[in-house]
Amino acid sequence: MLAFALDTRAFQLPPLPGVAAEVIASSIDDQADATRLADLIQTDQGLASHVLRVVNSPSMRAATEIVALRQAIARLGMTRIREIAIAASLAGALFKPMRYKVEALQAWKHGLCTGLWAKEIARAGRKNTEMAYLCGLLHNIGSPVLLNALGQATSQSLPPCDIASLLEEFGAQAGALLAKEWKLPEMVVTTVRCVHAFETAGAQTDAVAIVNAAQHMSAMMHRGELSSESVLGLEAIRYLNLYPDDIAALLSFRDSVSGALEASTV
Amino acid sequence: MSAYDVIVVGSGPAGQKAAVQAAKAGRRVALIEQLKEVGGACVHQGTIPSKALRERAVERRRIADRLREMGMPWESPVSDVASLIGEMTEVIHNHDAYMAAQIKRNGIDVIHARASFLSDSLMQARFTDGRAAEFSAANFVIATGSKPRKPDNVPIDHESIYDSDSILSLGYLPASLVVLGGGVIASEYASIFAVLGVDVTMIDRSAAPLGFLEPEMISGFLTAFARYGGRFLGDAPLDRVAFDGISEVHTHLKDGRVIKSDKLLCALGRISQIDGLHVERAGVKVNERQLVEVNAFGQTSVPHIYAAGDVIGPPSLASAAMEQGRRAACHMLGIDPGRQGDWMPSGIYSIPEIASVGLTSEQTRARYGSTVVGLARFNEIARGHIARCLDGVLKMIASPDGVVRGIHIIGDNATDLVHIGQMGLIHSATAETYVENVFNFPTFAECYRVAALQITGQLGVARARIAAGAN
Repeated sequence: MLAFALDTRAFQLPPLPGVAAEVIASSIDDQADATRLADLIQTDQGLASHVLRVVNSPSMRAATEIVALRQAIARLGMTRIREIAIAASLAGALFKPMRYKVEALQAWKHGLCTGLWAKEIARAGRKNTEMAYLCGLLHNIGSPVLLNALGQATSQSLPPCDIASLLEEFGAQAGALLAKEWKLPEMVVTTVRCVHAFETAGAQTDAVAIVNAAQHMSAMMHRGELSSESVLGLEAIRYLNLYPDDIAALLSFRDSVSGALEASTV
Repeated sequence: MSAYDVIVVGSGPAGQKAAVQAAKAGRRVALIEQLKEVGGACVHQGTIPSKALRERAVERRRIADRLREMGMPWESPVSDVASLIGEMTEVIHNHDAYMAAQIKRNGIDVIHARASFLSDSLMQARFTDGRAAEFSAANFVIATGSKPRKPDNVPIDHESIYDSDSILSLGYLPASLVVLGGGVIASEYASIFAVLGVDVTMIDRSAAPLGFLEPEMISGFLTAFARYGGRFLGDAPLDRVAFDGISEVHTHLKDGRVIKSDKLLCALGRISQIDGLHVERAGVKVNERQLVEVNAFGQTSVPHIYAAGDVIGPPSLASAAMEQGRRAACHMLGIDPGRQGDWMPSGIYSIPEIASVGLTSEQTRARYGSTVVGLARFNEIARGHIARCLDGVLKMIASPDGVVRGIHIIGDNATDLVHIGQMGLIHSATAETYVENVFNFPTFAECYRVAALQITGQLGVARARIAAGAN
């Protein structure tokens, strides 16, 4: 049923919420400035409250309470605020299906964690960090769409293992449809489509390999299996030419990734 | 354990030429390269990408200028950064493929791993999967190149604050960019980004950038830079750099000024790349600047271990590195490398290009007592008008006996044009040589005759010739 729906495009693709679209656009717009983003965030009540919750979370360790968005921007920096805003706007728009809430939250956390690791891998390889984050964050954007569709299509809940296999089988296809529909940057579209087969990404192979490695690291971290050995065994890590020394340096960011993840999901 | 006649570490210009030379001499050669491609920073982070970007920037600027002249203003010469990067990647890929083919053709074993000396005859290679292997060799060439210097007061994060190895990872053009430094790399990137429409501020502690050049070259660079919207702040020692936590990088100068920009490029020099190589285990000496010490033949303190390229220090030119690598291999194998040329040209791929060969005015004066100078401006040359390149200058410096001692050029094709002067220097050409020989017309080479005529005129040689002809 899912395959048919995807093939025939008889699929309910949610519209990209206005604020999310603008926040994403600001992340690839060289003219974007702090004032514009602050204005943008202030136009969305949910987004504003989420940003303030995040900056005041224990892991951010603010010395004083943050009471204003501009103060939050000053505290965390434009790049970080933008990341939180993108993640939060997508969470609000997509990751709240009526059913499968646990799976949806897990998918969102996985996207976020992938984005955070992708950024560090990109930094280690002297690649673009901003794009790596965005591609990592959005790489599994098909998951909530599928979860929504599943929730609407059947009256009874499927067991978790079935859901996992459906997401694995159709997630990329659904995500690619959504990314195109939303007119996301070409690199994001390619990442969503090729993340599980990065070698097929053509000119974007390096960028997609970063996200591939990051999503494996995110999954390993979730399972408590993140180690030098496990990362060293990743095909994408070898493709990216990262050596054991580089991986040791990369894993030193584990706490900061964990902290950022915790802060963003308060 | 595999045994080789020669192991070369690093596949940049120096390493590649050393390996090819040794292989051509029939030796069994291994080339250990830590990147997954060959070519080193030259191909993947430095020379080739920046020059490719430069060409694309110049192309777009020309199109923009022409459209403006035709009444069709095109405000931004660059609308799509992805296409710029894509074109750059294509150039890199093609160059990489060509070099890989050359290495394969010569039967060189390429080992993609990180190398470290275990002794003066044994080397360990560590692979990305964690495996390690040992290799022995009778001779080694260290050609590991250089990496950007990271001053303590500039927190490079490759996100807001870049170095010259990461600046081309930018996903979009920032509205503003501060470039720290006044050297070759700083000047090249500052001018390229200015031409691409970025608001560039170049900051250096020296009064002028490229201080080793002739004054006409420096003023020509600064004039062009200002025309493209760039700003140079000289005599401005740096205090510190900090990301403001919002969206800007703040560059604090010692005099209290703070320059704000979207991004910052730190181009305050490069240092040798010998981390993890453990040259001390082989007994190879490095100096206080971490440069590998070599003699005139490229030999280190251990006679069968050679070094070439940026790892031994200036001039840090790809062209020089290639020749150093070739000569090192020749010396180690007892092959006559030929006489080493006295005159090495240098090229700066800024916009406009700058090139020079031979002595400066100061050096000529110091060596020969005084100088006779001829200046040819591109706006006096037919080709300059045809090509719409009127800002260039060729400066010819001669000693009082009329022998040309130095050529310095700024303007289109300077890095190619300088080789005429190089040939002249090699053959001790006098200014008269340039006057008496015919160059194609219209070409920029005509500048040589114009400059030479000024010199012969000053020396009175021309007048004497005319007088002799009248009699």
